[in-house]
Amino acid sequence: MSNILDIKELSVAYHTEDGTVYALNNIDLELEDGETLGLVGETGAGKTTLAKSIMRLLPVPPAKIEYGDIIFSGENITDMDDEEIRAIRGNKISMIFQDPMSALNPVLTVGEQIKEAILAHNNISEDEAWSKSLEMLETVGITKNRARDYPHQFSGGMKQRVVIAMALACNPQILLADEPTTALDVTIQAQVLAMMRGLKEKFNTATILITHDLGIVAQMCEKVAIIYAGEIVEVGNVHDIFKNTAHPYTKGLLEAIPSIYADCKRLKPIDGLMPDPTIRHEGCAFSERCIYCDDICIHNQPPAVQSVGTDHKVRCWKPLCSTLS
Amino acid sequence: MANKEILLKIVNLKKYFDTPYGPLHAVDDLTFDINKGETLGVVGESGCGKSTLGRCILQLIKPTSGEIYFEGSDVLKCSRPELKMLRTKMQIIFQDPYSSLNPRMTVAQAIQAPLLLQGLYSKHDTASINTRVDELMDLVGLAKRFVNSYPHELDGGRRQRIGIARALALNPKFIVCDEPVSALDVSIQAQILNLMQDLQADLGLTYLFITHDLSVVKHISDNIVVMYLGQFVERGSSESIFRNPSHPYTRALLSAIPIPDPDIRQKEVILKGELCSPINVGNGCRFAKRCPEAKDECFACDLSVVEVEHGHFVSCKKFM
Repeated sequence: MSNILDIKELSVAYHTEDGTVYALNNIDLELEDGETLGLVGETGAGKTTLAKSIMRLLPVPPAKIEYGDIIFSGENITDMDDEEIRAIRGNKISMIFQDPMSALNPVLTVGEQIKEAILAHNNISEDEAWSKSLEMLETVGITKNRARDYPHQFSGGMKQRVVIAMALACNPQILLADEPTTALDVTIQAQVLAMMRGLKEKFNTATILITHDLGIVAQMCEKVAIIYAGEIVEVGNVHDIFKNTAHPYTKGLLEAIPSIYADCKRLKPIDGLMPDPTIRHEGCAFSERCIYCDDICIHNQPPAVQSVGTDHKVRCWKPLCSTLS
Repeated sequence: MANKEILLKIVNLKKYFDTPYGPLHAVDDLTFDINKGETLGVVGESGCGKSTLGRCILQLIKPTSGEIYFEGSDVLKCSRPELKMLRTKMQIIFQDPYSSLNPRMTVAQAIQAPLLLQGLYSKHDTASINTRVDELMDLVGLAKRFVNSYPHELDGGRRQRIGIARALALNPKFIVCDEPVSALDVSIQAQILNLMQDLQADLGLTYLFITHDLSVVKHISDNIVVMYLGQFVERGSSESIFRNPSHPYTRALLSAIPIPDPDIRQKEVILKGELCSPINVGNGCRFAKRCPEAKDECFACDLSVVEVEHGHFVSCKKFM
């Protein structure tokens, strides 16, 4: 299969008065057509910076793409001028934000907002755009007669449906979903996730699902990338990540979640905190918190992602499963 | 495990908020006990009244009616000075460590504030105050070097540790924990949950643990109350509720949690609709509109509580 998105050695830094924050370091990531990739990491790991880099929504300055390429169907997004990126943003690549309460314009009806997105990218009449907008609302399970309602008249789950309708209105090739259900209750989250699965079958949009919930990843994604302190530490298909875990950080994350299926008296947290992103580390970024850490880990950058299986790569001196040569 | 001592007893607690559209039933007729040294988990969706319940117990909100007994005395009949004394025994940890700390107070100032407010130490006795602050920081695992830091310099996990240190400052017996870990990352969440369990064991604390996360509640609670629109739908021991979830709502909540295992596919018991308005709730089962098993009678009848197992109560027509 062909890659619709190819991120190569991407490094992004924020230059602030208090120093330079190295938000992304040497990210390599591929997304195949029609695939759902889960991007997992803690607060401050760089998940949202990565999504915003792809959308070219980074605030420049202070942010700067220091190095690397983002290739979207043959074209390098990092080189595009404003006009070129505007033709892609919201059209071929669109984004769902975490908080539906603040992603919608409070003074426009939801139908108008979806119509606006459609008109921005399609050369069609207002009426056509309006009927397309109603159609999108029905697709996400909202009846047509609510199109003239304002965002405050909708509940959180319904608002997120509107945001999803807007993101899919131009039939994008890539959907970036940044924690789409974090602000929702579990039962509503289940509804929205089920709907997203249905839409996936219908539109076959390649999706990057950003989340910190490993349960959602296991249920929604085919491929998973684990990001820590601005680096992808492990990437592979969902089965390998959960069952054949290679990176100590991934293992730590999996063990830290309390389970409703297992009885355990005590959780196993990952000790310590994520390192300060303003300081470049000599060795592995995770070494301070890693129980397998050794001298080599503290003083030397781990080898660039090595293969531990088919499409399963890890960036670690001491991967937990054996490497393929 | 005989002779459990009841620390907190809630009887027919109600809190209605007046709104222009009618009374909002935030907490509607709850009755339960919490034993000394145990944790009662309160689970439910946003808007089901979990936080209102916690705040009513601490008298941060005045309940509409009902009785709250703490160590046998009725909290609602306390005079203001008595209430102030009582507050040394009952404390709260808030959900959001980003907004529950004063941004202009250093860690030390935040932790000593309750000590000074209660007049336990004289303002001039800095040596004793500092010793107590050190002790508390040590207890919650905050390094001494943060003593003069401001909240914005610290991450969420450390901020929540300050929140816990503050709550512990007066040596309370009972702490309402209002979603203490939901703003934290999983790896940090596990650190804080372990800390809270250790503190409970060491200091003999009793918790009312409010959360929307069933896996957290299972992990930390001895007993669980599942709430829906101000009422409890199911309560019992943690073991019994997870082994034999009986109310359709509890089962729906459980089935809605994404399973962190790609080999197990989620069962699709998806609840239709959303929490309806807690204003003008009317008769019948409040969950009936969303219940996959609802029958006509559910909308009309008065519900009573049924004991399905020893100490495991369900409020559902199906069991009556």
